Amino acid sequence: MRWGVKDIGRLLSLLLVGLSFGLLLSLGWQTAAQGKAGATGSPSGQFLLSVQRLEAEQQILKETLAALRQELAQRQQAITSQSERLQVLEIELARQQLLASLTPVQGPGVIVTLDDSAAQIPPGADANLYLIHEYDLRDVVNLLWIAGSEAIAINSERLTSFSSIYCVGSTVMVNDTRLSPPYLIQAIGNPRVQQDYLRNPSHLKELKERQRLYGVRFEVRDVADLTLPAYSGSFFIRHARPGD
Amino acid sequence: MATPKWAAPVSLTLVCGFLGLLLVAQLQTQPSARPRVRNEEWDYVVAGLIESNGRLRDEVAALEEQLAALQEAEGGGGAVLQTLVDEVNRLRIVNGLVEISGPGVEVMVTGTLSVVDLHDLINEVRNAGAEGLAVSGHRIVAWSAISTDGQNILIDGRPVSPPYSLQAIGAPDTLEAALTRPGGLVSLLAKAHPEISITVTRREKITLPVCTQPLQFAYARPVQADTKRP
Repeated sequence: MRWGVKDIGRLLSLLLVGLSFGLLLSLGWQTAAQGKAGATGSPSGQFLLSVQRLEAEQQILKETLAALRQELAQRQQAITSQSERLQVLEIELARQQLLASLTPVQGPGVIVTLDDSAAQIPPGADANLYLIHEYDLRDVVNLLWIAGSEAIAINSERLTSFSSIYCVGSTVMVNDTRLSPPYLIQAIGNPRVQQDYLRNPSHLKELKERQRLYGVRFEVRDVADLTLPAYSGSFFIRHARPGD
Repeated sequence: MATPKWAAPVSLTLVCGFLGLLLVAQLQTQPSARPRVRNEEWDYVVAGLIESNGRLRDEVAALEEQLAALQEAEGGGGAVLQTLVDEVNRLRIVNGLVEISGPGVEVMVTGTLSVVDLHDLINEVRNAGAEGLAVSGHRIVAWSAISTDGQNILIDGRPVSPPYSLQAIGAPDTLEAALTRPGGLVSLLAKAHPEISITVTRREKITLPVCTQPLQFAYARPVQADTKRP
């Protein structure tokens, strides 16, 4: 059979028609399929939204974590420097407490014993001459400070910058505590220097004279290792403020 | 065998239609193949993200807890620090290691006082609640040595000469009353030394210098009694 021009023309038009038909058919099918899926939304769009939301959340969480870690590091640094300051302060506090008589201390020194005379007071005599007075304690204590004593206690009442040795009636008061004779004055320091000052005839003349004439007791002895208690009272500071 | 005249166009049409279908299918497959695979991958991605975000949230919570604990510790430490600072500052006042100011009294003495007189004055204001005192510009603390070289009064070895001033910080009324009461120290001193004059003046503000003779411990040492502490 021979193909003529007419035949080729027919064939070509058939081909075009067929192709268009196939195209239309498959497009129609596609559209139908898409319409069906469209009822539950575009799967890819939904996933995209979730992923974007989750990724945004992740970003925020990571930034939060970074900020938290930075703050933690800063806080740890602060606590470290705080504990360093704490150590320095504790050392300083210990030093101040030691100076303020708030720490029990030990060391060599002397014990001075003062007591009223054991002698019978003759009728008509001045009884004061036979007794130990608060000013006797004061004189001995002041002499002990001059002799370089570092800590002093009278009958276990530690002397402080705020302490007074006072008498109310015939009772001696130290740190608001009543003391009664015999009075034991413990003083930590260089025992030789302390002894020198105490024994020097130009010091405590009046006391030494009453010792000689009326028998009031005044004894000094070295002690290799004295232990003095801490001041147990408080320091009332209501008016003084640091600075000018 | 004779082929019917219509067979060739029909078969051609079918073949071409099929070809068209294939063509479209091919064109469709090209772009739609990726989303289908990606949807499954994204399933996995989403699950992974949910899980890792959960872990991140856990870590955020853990770090927030740590931070709260640290902040509490820091606050507690800060409170401890403040307590220590306050106590150190208070004891510095007691120990004369800081300049202080406040109300009080000033005792001026013209004429010569004995060491004992001065000690008695100091004792009197201490007993009246003096929170700090100075004699002629020298801060007096527990261990201050007040002596004499036979001529002058020495405070920690430094001579002071009349007129003497004694400044004490504390309740002015109490301090003044203690010194000037009938039969009190000022009247006793005036009686004992008719040649001297003693005036007691209340002051709204007195400033006391730092003690220049801080105590150095050469013999006394703290008792090691830290066994109480855990």
